[in-house]
Amino acid sequence: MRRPLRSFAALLATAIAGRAQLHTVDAAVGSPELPRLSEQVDYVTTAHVFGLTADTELTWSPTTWLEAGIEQPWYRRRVAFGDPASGRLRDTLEGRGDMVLHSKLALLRENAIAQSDSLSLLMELSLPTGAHDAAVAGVELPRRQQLGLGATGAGLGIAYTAVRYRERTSAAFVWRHFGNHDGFDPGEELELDLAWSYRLQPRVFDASAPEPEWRLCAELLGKYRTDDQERSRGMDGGGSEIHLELGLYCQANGWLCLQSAVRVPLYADLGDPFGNTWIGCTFAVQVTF
Amino acid sequence: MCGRTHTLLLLLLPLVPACAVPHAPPANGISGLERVWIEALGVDEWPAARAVERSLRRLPEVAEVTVELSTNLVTIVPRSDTEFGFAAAADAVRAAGYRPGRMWLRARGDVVAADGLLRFHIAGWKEPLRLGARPEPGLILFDAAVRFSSDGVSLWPQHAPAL
Repeated sequence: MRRPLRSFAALLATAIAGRAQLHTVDAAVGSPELPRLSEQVDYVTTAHVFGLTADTELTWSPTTWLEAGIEQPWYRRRVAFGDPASGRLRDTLEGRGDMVLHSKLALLRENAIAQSDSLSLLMELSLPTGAHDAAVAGVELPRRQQLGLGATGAGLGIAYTAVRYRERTSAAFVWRHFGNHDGFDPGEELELDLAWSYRLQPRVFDASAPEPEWRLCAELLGKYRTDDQERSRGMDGGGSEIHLELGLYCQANGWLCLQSAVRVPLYADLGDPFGNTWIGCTFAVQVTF
Repeated sequence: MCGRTHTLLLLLLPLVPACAVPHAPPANGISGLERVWIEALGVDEWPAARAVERSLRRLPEVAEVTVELSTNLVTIVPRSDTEFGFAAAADAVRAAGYRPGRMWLRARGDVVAADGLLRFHIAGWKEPLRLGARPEPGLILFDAAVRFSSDGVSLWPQHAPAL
């Protein structure tokens, strides 16, 4: 649970990216005409953990060059750890995680007929709203296993998206730094996500006979993290991981969008005592008002 | 009776601004402007089309809006009881987060000479619009590209791509 689930929590911090991809941030600032509400349910398993995350996000653009959002995850994690021979500890953690405020500032937006290029600056602030003092069998869990980190974090990044008729390609890079809390200093995080999606249907949009838009989406989600520090002592756990995600996106009409995806690890060397991530599934609903 | 009338008037009072014609009404009855087309560049999905449509519908001189995603062409049916603000339509596309491109119109009217220049007078409008080029003689229905400059709006004979 320690590394993979926290990694996924962090991934979710930039999740519900909309515009076909689920996790990679789309650089285009949303229209001020359309506030968006998203609910994303993420299910992930590791060797010893089953985790369910429900992530609620409200996004709105006050201007054509600025988008702002607030995101609140809720976790349910069934954990089992310890030596099987001497008895394993099992428990379920449940509750809200750290709230994330994020914004996107448009640096460039070039539009042509059914084509666009967008470059945006990404900023985020994570607030320690999740519990970070839970215990299992009387033993307080290490901070990375908690629902919240207990520390305030700030992120800065850049994203680029190109739309060429039926294709959409995005790349997003984010760096995150967390403050120290009660002697625990989470490691720095670097994220590099790539996404490519292709509109399967309709081949050509027809305003007189609107039909749902179906897209196939592939994402490569990379992360690198430095070791945590506890009371100025270095801890294990830093490393990197790469996931491949394949998803299907359905924009049913002008206001409802459904997305689902399956995620598999390609590489992980986080040295997690709870085992590396096996597989993850995501289902998301997005409503534009 | 007097009290009821008073109450009714108070209830109807908020409707007065909504009923008022917000843009310049045509000087001589019904506007001859039949269609306006504008490109909303970068619109690539249904929500984007909805955003542009919503932004344009907010204009008091707009009756109907249709967005064609594949061509980014927006067809506007203007209201016939008011003059159309071409710059306002471009601003509405911009306010929705997209770039306004070329604009065309189809209008009934006639060519008039004013200040030594040829102008096109849309039926029912107060002021004629500058002409960038001379249209065909015997004009009844005029298809033109709408162009903006520091001198204002000018019309250039051209069919919209939708025609």
